[in-house]
Amino acid sequence: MTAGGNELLWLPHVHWGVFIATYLFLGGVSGGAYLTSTWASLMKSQMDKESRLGTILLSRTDSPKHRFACAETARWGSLVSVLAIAVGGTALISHLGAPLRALTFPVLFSNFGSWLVVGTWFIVIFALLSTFEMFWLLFGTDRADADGLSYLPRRILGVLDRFMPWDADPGIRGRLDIVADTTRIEGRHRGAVRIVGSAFGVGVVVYTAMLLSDLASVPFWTRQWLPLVFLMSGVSTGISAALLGTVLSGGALTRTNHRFCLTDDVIIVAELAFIGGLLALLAGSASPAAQATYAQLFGTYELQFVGGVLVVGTGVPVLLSLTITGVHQFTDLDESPLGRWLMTGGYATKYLLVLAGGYILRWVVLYAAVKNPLVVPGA
Amino acid sequence: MGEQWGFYFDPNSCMGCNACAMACKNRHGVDEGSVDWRRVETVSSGSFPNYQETNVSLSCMHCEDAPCVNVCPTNAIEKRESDGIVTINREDCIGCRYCGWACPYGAPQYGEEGLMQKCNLCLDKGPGSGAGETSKNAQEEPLEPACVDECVGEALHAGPIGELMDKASDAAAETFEQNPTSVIVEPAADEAAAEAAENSVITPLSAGD
Repeated sequence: MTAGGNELLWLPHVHWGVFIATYLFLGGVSGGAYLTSTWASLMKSQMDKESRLGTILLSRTDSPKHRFACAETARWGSLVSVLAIAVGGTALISHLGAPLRALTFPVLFSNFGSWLVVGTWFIVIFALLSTFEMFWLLFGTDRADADGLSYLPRRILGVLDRFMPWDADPGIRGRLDIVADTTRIEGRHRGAVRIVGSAFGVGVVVYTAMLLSDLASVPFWTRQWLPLVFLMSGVSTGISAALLGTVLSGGALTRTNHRFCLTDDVIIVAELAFIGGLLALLAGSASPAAQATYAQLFGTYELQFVGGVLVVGTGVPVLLSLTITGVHQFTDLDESPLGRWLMTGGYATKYLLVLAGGYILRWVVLYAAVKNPLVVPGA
Repeated sequence: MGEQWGFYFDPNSCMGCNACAMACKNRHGVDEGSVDWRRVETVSSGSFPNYQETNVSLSCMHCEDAPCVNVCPTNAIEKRESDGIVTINREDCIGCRYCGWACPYGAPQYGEEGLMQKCNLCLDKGPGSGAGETSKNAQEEPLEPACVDECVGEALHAGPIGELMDKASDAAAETFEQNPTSVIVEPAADEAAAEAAENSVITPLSAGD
């Protein structure tokens, strides 16, 4: 630089650390898992119907394994959505300087022009709806002897009931079953609740990007691409978390898992395209902060971004998924116990890698962010 | 709205001694370490024999449309109608650090307790003070900011913008009119440097994009 031009002054800036990265990740997982649950419930509801929607969803089946996997996916999705929003919300509150004060948000959060306030209400309403959905799916007197690993919370409560000092009949689980039977909504109203919950789920996923992209001083957090990247990643990781449960329940080789896995692949490819758009924007920008970010992504954070996000978190899972699908479709490997074990392990690995990639993506988005420098005249 | 208060800064008179930053820390009881309501940065350019350094004393710019105010979830940060000073009410701050990301000047600072603190143009002493204080315009003897009080080269001044404009050169006054902050900055004394500069205020690059 020559003397007499405008020089840049790079200021140190605050960091949002792993707690916020965890929250951004789990917010996406939660919203995506709820959408997965809703989708699986919809498929299940259309199984015995001759409807156009059922045809589109390819729901019609007489296979008990497919029916079981579909129901398990709905339950796992709702369970994951509640756990993820609970842990993510805790991580979010933990990073605050005054966490207890933040719990008075209905009164204290008065600036509705701030995405933080909008997002808080999205989270609260979504958490409420997803908790009800999970409660209605896992509890009820007709589920007393239900089969499926997704009923794990019921089993844990059953074990607890046995060790409680008071009379265990009906116990905590029994009481929750009665409450679930009393409050459960069915039919169209239940569908309406799921649709509203899904809308708020998408809101939770997208809001995490809107929160960041509202800050004009960070070119990496561009509103043009970041919400799309986060939406795809959120839905993809949500599907992966829910279907990981289905795989653990023994549903790896069912049409339910096959369909969700391929849907997940398409979403991951879209996510990669949007990441490409974001990178192209950074590379083509004249902004020094954008250039610094781009250099960091392929320099300081190359291992995390290229290795963690582009290779391990997105590229490898899609290849793995397509390989297993091809093997499943065109060979009879699934007829041997070893073959089934290998394919089940392959699906589980794919979902775990997607989840790892989703977390690393949020981490990189926070840590590789560079604020615009100041322009100092005449230096 | 009452008359806007702000700072006047002349980098040509600043020797980079950091007396302003230390005086600020002393008055407000801010601990040593990473919390700096005011800091002095040195920007270098060119190479020998045309090497040049410019010292920049930075604090909250009390922006006209302060981004920290816009993002604060609890409205704890206020752009005061009475004197234009941006204050923080720490009773309502949750320590989310959103304002820290929003501010292009790095003004919001966070101590060990995690709550935001920043320059209040010495409305009062201590982190979080100033919120709810009487307007500078209404005070009989408003406290002179410590940074101004201790500035060795008289590079820093504070007061109502109307009064500060009397000290400003035509170039500084002209560019201040397009300046979204409340700090008047003199351009470089070197005529050639001043002409080569695309503006004569300290601005965030691409702010508002």
